[in-house]
Amino acid sequence: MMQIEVIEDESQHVVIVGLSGRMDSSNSRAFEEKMVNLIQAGKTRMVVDCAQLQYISSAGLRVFLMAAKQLTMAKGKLILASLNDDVRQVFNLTGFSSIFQICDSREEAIRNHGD
Amino acid sequence: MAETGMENLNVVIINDLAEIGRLSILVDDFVSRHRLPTRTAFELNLALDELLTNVISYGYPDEMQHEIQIRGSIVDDLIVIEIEDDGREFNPFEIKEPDLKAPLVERPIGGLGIHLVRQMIDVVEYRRLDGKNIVVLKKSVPTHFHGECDDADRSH
Repeated sequence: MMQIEVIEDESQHVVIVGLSGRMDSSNSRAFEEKMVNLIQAGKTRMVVDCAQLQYISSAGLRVFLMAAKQLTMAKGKLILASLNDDVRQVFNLTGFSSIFQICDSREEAIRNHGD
Repeated sequence: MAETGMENLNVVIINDLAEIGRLSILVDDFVSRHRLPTRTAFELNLALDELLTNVISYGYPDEMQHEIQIRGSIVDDLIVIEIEDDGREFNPFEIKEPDLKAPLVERPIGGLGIHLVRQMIDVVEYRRLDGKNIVVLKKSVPTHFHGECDDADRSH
């Protein structure tokens, strides 16, 4: 079970995607569709807030990778925030920590888009 | 410590990805019955998820419903999980390791699942027997928790 919440921070021109629950192969497609729709709508400054994300498998990592590639082509940027220890471990073990900018909080991630 | 049926994991799922979420609850329960840390549940669930996702997504040449059996037990300080499916013959551990240092643009999409299984599990085995794929996963009980089961019911 996973929930996706999208918030637009208009003052910062950043879109925040909040994930909660478990992201696995049964629901990663919903996240993929959401990200593709946002990118196609021109939302290229993105923060994915993982504070409530309990679990991620490679199916979820695949969506992050796809989104990052599309955003790079669109001259945008994806910053992740607030990974819990378990999720962080998955990012570390797959080398994803070195290809994504990861911040400790949503606020810090939004600030980093301003640079 | 004697092994009893109550403490084992014995689950049959069908070839539907939604079953992986249901299994994870049973694995969490299995791990907590043995008073192991939640990190262990996360690691077992991730390994099972990656392997079962492969079987369910690519393992069957037909559109029929199939059953996959998952059995788990803990003997002494070793967690042993067995997955048995009747899909096409496939040894997941023959997959080549991905390049984890490649820059973003060169990263292939996918190919990380089995790498994660190897990181979560100490020993992985595969065999084909009677038309079935059998994967065995062995993982040491975290040292810090060894022997905690003997203190059962102290906190309840």
